[in-house]
Amino acid sequence: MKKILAFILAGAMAVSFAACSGETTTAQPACSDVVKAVVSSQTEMEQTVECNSDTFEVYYSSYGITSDMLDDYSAVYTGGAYADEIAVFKAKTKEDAGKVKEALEARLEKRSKDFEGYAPEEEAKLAEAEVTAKGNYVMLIIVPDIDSADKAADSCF
Amino acid sequence: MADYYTTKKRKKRSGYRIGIVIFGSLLIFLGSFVMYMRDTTLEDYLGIETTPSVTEPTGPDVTELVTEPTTVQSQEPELPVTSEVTEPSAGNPVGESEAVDDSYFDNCVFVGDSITYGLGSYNKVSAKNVYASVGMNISKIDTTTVETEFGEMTVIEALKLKKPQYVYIMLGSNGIYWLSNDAMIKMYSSFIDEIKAELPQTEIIVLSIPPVTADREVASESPIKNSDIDSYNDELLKMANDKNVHFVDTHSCLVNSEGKLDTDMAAGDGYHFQADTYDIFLNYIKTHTVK
Repeated sequence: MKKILAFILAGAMAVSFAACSGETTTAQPACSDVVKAVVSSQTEMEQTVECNSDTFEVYYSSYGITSDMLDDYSAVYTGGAYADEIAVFKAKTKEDAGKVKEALEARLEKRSKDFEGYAPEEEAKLAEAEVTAKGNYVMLIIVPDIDSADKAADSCF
Repeated sequence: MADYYTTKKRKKRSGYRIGIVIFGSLLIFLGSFVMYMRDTTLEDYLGIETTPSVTEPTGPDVTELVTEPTTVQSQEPELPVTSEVTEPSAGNPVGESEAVDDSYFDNCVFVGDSITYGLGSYNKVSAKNVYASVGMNISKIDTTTVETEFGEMTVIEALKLKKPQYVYIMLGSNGIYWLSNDAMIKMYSSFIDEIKAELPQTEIIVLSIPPVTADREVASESPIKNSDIDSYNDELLKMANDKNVHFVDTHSCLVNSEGKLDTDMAAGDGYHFQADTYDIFLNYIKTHTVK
């Protein structure tokens, strides 16, 4: 009985070593790969355009996202008539990720206000849209099929 | 008796061995726990949200990204200004001129609604030179905020910071369905007066609003007639002359022989532009500049 107890404790110890190794095995995908995966998941999205430094400054920096917060980013969106947007940011620290999340939530609120009473389909898209975080990754996804987009984004991590 | 003590000793030794194993296991488990907690915090372990402490960034800089925007109060004028506003001496609408290159747009700001917003979002001109918002119309020009490099603010606030050499205004597509021409022209005139008062050195150019497709004219929701657009554009030209500002007839480069926008130039709603349509629009502006 005591030997059995000893073996059980030894086994628990071995499991503790494995679980408490201090290293994670979470994937660290390129932000552009996440964006591509989400775009591919959509069948009804209009042609998208990639974010450049000027659009980054107006659409994101103006809400408080600065380059020194990020290790990586990628964003695409459609033209003036549509609200579609897929923006993925990899923050350097947890604190930065929090600030990026706040900024993207502010942008989502602005876009929702802009389309209010203007285009019902786009309003519906924005109502389903969300800002989500996975570790230091923060994503703003506004697309026609949010469920497929979420699955596609999850598959990258 | 000897057997009794021997058995008892054996049991005692066995007991010691088991105790040592148990004690050793507990020590190792404790050590593993300490190693785990070293790499996390008690709050994380317990799933409690707290304000994270400040840490130094450790990754490489993303050099292609922009730096933190300067504050509104310290913003210096970025663009050159002329000493005098040019009178529309050639008459309105502005006639054809020698084509300028895309660097011309560095000195311009485009003000408008979702059609104008597409200039920036389609990367046709710098988004820093587009002050537009989906749903913007002339009745909301002083209250609706736009996204700018300086932050979210009204158009006039942003223009005061930017001090562009040229400001192109295209407003009316969003409003023609429910606002009268008289009401829109009155509000438009006030807006022009405001720009003149705040930015006396800036050239103001009014743009005619674009046509819509045949399908949009008969849409079940918010149909827009091209004849109403033509009528409004005539009023815009008169206003530009009254206000002594320039008028560029961008409508003329987009309309087909039937007075409508071609379907392949329009987005699905028959009203907004395809990406390529902006190139036609901007080429017209580059060949009808104000000197």
